[in-house]
Amino acid sequence: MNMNEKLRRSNDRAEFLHNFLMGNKAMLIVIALSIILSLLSPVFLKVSNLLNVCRQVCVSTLLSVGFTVILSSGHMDLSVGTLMGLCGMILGLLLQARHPLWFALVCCLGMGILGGALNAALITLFELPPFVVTLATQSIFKGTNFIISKLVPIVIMNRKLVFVGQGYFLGVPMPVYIALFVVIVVWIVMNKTCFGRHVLACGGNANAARVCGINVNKMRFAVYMVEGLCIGIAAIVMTARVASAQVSAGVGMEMDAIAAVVIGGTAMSGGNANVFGTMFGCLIVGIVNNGLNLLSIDTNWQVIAEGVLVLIAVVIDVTSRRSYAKRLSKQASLALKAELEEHRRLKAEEEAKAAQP
Amino acid sequence: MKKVLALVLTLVLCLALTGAMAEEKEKIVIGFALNESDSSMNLQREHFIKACDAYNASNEKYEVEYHITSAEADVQKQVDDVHALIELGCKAICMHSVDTEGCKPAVDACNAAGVYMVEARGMDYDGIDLRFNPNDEAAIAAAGVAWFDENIMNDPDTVLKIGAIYGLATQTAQLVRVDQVISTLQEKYGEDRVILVDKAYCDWDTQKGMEIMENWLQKYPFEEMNCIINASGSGMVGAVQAIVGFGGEELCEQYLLQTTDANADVCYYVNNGMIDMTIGLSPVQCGKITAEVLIQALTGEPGVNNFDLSSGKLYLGAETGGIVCVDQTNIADWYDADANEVTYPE
Repeated sequence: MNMNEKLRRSNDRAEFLHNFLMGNKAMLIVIALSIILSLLSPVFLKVSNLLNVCRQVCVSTLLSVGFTVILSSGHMDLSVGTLMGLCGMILGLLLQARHPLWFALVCCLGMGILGGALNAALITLFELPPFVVTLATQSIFKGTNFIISKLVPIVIMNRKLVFVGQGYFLGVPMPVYIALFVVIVVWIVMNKTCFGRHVLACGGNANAARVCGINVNKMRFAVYMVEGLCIGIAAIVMTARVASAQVSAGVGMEMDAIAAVVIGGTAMSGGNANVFGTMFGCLIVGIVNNGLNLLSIDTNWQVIAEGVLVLIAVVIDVTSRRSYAKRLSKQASLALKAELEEHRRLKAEEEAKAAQP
Repeated sequence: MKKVLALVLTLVLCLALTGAMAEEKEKIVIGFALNESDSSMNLQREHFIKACDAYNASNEKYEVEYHITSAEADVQKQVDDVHALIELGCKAICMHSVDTEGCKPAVDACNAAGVYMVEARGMDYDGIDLRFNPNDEAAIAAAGVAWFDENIMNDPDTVLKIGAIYGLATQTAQLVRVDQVISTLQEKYGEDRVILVDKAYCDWDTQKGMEIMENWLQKYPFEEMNCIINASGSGMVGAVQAIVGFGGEELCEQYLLQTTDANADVCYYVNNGMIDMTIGLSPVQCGKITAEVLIQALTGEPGVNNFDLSSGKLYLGAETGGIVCVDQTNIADWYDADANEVTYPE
């Protein structure tokens, strides 16, 4: 094996390691946090506590996975939390009115999809920035929730639904299965289907995607509706978990979703979707909260911890992207230099040959 | 033709005069500036309106015009709301301050406009004409202590190992309803019988209340924590679900769970024996009394109740019996009172 081959292989290994670390940084943070917390608290590594953490992050995972799709398509949605609250309230009201469970569930999911479609329609029809539209619909969904609920929370007595939020199957909480299923489906959709590539293309450069023949408006509707479906599922799990439809449910959860998605490694500017990263992002937030609780640290520190985590994640993301870009440009310049030298050498050889009598 | 016209004009004049005589009642304008639209404030609003309508139907001297605003937890909006109420001609305003410091400009505006200002969230400021305190935290805590005295601590073997859950950390007033119960019980029965094991803030959020309890269940077995005192009813609903999810309803019944707020969902769990007691702050009474106080302040005449407004203070808990310990023994009375909208159990 010559020197160049060795160098190339070593570069490939470094490249692979770098990509692995950057693509799975959220998972690595989860592992690091788990090691630290297991040393600090004997309770942390108990199976029941680990399942407890998993169960606690299910709702935010479902919400954040939908948000990942939105963010990767280059859009934004600030109404996720209040739409989830509205979906949960519709579920509660329909069950209170003694409608069948399946009908209530379908209406809950339908409301999520409808809410997403409303956002997409307003953005598309009036060509408004998603930030402004979803800020407005955030209030609309919240107000609608207030009106239909008359500000009174509803107790859920349907045992089947409560089982979805509180039950266990093979020792694992039901919400964990639901969240994992949704994560896997969304990962497949985003990474293995034409639709996923179109979404990422729109997120990377909408104009280029349009030129390539992708119907950007249609994609916008699709991503908001997919997100709406995730919100509907999150609403079902949340309502089932607390066995009640709360008027203030979901308020402020958009910030948790943004934090988890950013920590997970999905770029705020769109163009890539790290679905598993988002799941681990949610786990990081959950583990930190759980750990601080187990260590009896003031809960106000949890708020700071979440902010610090987002900052660290963004700093790591930005610096790693910069160093990657720098490395690429260095490699390109080295290759160019080598090519120039080769060119010069060949030219010199030719000139030498020409100079020979 | 002239005679017909004159007759018509005379008739119109007579009708107008009759109408004017019918509306001869002196108009008074009052305002109610809510801090937000939660279920409790919504009930207060509803019964404020009912009290005003009832007054208008029965009183022949005064006609009450009322205006209500809700600030949705936004200090700036509340200050703007109070300015708007002043513009609408309100001469007496009751404000549930979003922030007892940030809303002082609203009080200044009322003073400048000569409006009678009633503040209902414990603001300490010279410009306030009446400090109306429906959420008298000390009275809430005292009610809680009395309930523990009567129902729990009379058994000398009882040892309370308490997990304290508060609402939002920045709302310092509500800390009293938990802290004072614990400290008073410790003073009375000793720190070996009343032990504070851990504390946390649920931010009035059900999901967060649930997560706190789930974590505590992992950390403290029942032998180490057997009592939860929660400042927030919605947070307690989450805690109940966490216990039920962990060990079923049987485990929930073993815990001693005490909270504040008698909302529909909290009452449901009290009725089922899963929450032992909640302190109900009668929003019906609050809304009703707010209207009565404002009317009395402007007319100088007492309505259903005669309040002493001269001291500049009015406490709902101490003076009107608006704070009730709701447990399984009187939950039916509480429901009845809520339906009748008139009186509450003693």
